[in-house]
Amino acid sequence: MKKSNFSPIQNFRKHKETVGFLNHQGVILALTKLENPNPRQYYSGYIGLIKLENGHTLSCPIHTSDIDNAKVNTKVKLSLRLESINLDGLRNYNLVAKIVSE
Amino acid sequence: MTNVYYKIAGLGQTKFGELYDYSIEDLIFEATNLALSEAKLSINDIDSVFIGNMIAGEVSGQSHLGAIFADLFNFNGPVIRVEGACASGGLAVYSALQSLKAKTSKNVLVIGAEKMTDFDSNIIGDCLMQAASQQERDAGLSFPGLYALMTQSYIQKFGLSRNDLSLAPYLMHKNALNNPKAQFQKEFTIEQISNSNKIADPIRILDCSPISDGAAAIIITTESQLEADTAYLADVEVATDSASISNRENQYSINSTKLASKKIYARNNVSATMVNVVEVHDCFSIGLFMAMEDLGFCLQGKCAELLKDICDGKSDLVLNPSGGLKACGHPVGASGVKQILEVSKNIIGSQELRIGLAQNVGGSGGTAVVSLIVNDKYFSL
Repeated sequence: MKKSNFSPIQNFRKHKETVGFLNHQGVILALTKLENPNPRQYYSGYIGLIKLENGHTLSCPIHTSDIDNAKVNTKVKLSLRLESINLDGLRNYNLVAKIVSE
Repeated sequence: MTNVYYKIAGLGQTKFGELYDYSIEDLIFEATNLALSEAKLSINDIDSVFIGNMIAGEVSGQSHLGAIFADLFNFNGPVIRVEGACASGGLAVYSALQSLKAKTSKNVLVIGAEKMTDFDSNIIGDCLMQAASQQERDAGLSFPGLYALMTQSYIQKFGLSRNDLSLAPYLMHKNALNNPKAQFQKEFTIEQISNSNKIADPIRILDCSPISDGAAAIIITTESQLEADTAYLADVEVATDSASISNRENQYSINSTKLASKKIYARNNVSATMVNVVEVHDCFSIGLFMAMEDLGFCLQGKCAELLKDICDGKSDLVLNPSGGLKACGHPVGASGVKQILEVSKNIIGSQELRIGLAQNVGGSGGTAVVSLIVNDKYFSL
């Protein structure tokens, strides 16, 4: 594998934080749709402010398949999304919120 | 004990806008010369210089603005670049005042300068997101997105109609008609603002301050006597909060503004009701609402009523006479200095306007700088 554009330490820190939130559930406090999402990321452009059950709050994009149903107070679970593929082909993953089916 | 007053002796501002012919050096050069000329001083009278700037490194490939200033003016004294995102200008003024109080300088020059229009808005947007948290960047947020979430939180908490939100840019564009330095000199109706293109729900394009080039400069001198028809920098305070909106007490107010203004009011026996003219940080429409409430000009959730009173001529408060960030423009490092310049202009020589305030915010509220500017008549209160 070729050397990544990210430093190994940056990647490790981001990975650790991402993995730490995986599968946590919470509710959407506020929701916005960016008309011009970051072109360097693969995501829906719908971003929620999410309050997790453990008390932590974070911003997280909503999964593309859930954008029609996501609104304030919708319950979601944090999963993984492919964030970007860099020029060396290294895949970077980050968090996405998926609606919890009742 | 000898009285000490910090006189705002010189004011200089370039036009704000898309200034393709201007480099960051040109902006600094012009604003500085205008301020020196008004103060009737030469560069040799200046003891130190503070330059507020956020992204000269990224946009102009030039981070070492101190050395650039030395080149431009053949100056060898201290020149310190100060950075705090969009609060860079306000922080430069704060730093300058500390230097004056410490008596390491008698006369200081403060410049805020930013060059932003050399790249497209996606690249500049990325540069500006350095003012947000890593987690917010990873989530794909932009500054419109961040302030959209804050607007949503405000609406959920207090209720706010789309047309009431539009009062902020409506008023800013009206004010800018009287400011020849403003980027935009065009009025909009409430309906035009409310129906403009969506950027990040519920924020519309006419809720957003523009990407701008520009510079503003002030010269502050130490004096032992008051002069008539003069503005003075009475006090500056800085407060900070988390970079991420997620980690704050709430998302519908900016706590750093509240903290900084509380200290200013307490130290100077002043309250918002005594302030005659104010320049606040309206990077997005909701920014103006939060600022007015956090500074105590109205109760929380009640800014729309205050704006209606201002529009109807029922309030004497002069709000963002420059046109604010929205209509005057927002070259990010310059705005904080421009605010103080504008307040000074409005109170110099005025019988009615004696006390002015400026509020400059970094990022989504991670830094707030609140400055108190008064004229000579304040000291006889």
